[in-house]
Amino acid sequence: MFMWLTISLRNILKNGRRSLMTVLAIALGYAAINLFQGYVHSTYEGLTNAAIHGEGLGHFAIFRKGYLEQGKLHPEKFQFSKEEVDRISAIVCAERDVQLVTPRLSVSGILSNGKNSTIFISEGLVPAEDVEIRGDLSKYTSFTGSYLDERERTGVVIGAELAAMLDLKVGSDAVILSNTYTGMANALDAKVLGIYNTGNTATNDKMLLMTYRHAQDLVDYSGAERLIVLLRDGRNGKNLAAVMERLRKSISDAGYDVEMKTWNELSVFYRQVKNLFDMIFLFIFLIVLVIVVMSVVNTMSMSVMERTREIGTLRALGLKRFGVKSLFATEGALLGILGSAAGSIIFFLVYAAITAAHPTYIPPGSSNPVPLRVDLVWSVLVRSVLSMTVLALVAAYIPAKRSAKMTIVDALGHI
Amino acid sequence: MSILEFNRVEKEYRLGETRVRALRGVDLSVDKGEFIAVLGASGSGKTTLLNLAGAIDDPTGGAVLVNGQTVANLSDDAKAELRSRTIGYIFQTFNLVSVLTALENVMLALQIRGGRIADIRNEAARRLDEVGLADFMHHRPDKLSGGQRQRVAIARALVTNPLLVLADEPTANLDHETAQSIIDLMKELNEKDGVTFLFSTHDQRLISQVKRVVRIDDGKIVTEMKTAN
Ligand SMILES: Nc1ncnc2c1ncn2[C@@H]1O[C@H](COP(=O)(O)OP(=O)(O)O)[C@@H](O)[C@H]1O
Ligand SMILES: [Mg+2]
Repeated sequence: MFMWLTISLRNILKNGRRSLMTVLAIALGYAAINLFQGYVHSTYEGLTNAAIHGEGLGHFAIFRKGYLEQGKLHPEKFQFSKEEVDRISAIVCAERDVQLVTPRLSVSGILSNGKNSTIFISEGLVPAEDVEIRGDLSKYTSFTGSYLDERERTGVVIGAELAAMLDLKVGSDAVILSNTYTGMANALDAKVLGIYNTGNTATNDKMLLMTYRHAQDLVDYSGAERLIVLLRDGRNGKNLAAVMERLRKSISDAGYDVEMKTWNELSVFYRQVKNLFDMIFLFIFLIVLVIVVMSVVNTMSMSVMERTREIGTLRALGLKRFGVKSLFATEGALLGILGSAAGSIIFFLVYAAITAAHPTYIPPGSSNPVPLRVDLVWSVLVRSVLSMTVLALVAAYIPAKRSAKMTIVDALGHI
Repeated sequence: MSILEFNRVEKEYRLGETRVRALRGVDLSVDKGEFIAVLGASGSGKTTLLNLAGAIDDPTGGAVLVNGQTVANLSDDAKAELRSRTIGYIFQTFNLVSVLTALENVMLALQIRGGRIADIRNEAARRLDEVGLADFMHHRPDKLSGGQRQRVAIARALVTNPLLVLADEPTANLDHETAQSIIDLMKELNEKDGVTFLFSTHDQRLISQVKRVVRIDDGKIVTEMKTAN
């Protein structure tokens, strides 16, 4: 084995220029894949955070069975009553990994400043508990005024676009209109406590936050649409499924028929971004795959051709066909390793440059610039070395197999 | 018992439509310890004969037996095993691996078989010393003269202690003086260690010392001379 490595390495060095081109192709492919992976990783972390905390989805939500299919049409039939909210919340709170469970009630309707009106979408929430999930929104740079407060029963917080459309300022009075669940028109006072940028152009002109009780008053209902559950720090990931499984059982044992959705099932945005990134990654990976395979096959075909007599000689000395294939596969693998090593250098140079320069960009659908970051994910870096090496090895195997098929007499060439 | 036996061996090459009968009914028997020259003009079938003897190629008729085994009946891997364990091969064009040193080239023959690297290195060094290249072990082939290269090839062929060493015109690419020294070296190894040699040449002058000469012409053995001495 050691001898095959020696032969391979020396042949790579002997054909310096040719090897360099192949190594460079692998290196660029390696760097491209890992930079993208590092970028995606940093983005996912932000997206996860944005979904759980920013969007306020918590780790998962509990709905009455059937709500997700028919709940919007028959909210009173597929939501939780006040008593159910209390009983189920108590069960959930008993689970030790749970930090918080809080009710939500979605409502929508029309917001009016007296002269003009426009539609709004809203979440009725418990302010103190929401702060635990989302953090204090009023600390955000784009936030003016103050956050919801249980004592300000008519207080609302609205998106910056929405405020601009209706010319509402902090302290302005407005009216919210909606239908109750029994179909009666209802109008309530609303006082603008705060204005903020939702960070998303799709919601910035519609979002209105109000207290849970205010929302209940608006639709004249004493229950909740869903319960949001937040786990203790670091209990996402594997724990999430286990906690949900345990709760599913204890809630069902208590006689309630519910369904649960995790934050990533609920966040449309997260799923869209993830799908997009997965597509881009596949695309990049396919390009790299084709380039790496083609350049290794090309290089190794030349190598095999030049060394036909050597192959004949080695086989005349007793090397088996498998040995010939191994010899060239070793050379391919070595190209893969050298390419990955060079690729790592490129990766770290770019990584250092990005870390030093802190570039920012405005992603589509976002209203704030975000930093362009690349994470250092060692497991991905190592796995890429392995896959590049295996890829180069397999690519080298194609011409090697052809050469091993030749008869020894043909390989030696007759004089 | 003979270690190599040709029984009515035929070899026909096909080149598209044309067929070349390279060997036409060759009978030959080689005993352990012999030193045999196959003498013939270019195209007479020497290489073909040695390739068949070396389990590198199969006959199209008759049978070749190496150490009692019919080569054609063996699997591909078994043939490789046979070549590695019982046969040493020396080529007209030396055929050293260009990126390896003299020592590594000799070691290669043993490494194909496997074994402890230190033992392999010692044995290869001993064989190079034996062919007079102790001072050239770490030279690459392109830094060696033709004669030196062929000595490396001889060391490589001998390092596995083969039953039979085949040398196909080992001196054709060397000047006469060097050629003679190569033949002398092989003869010396034959006499000292009892290594069995079967080599081919088209050069009459090289066979004056050889006890047994097989003359081949147009794929047939025309005469066999055995001198008593
Ligand atoms: N691989 C081959 N394919 C076709 N014809 C061959 C091949 N090898 C040898 N021959 C032909 O077989 C005959 C014997 O060749 P060879 O054994 O090489 O003779 P020598 O080694 O004595 O020069 C020649 O006519 C040669 O052209
Ligand atoms: Mg010949």
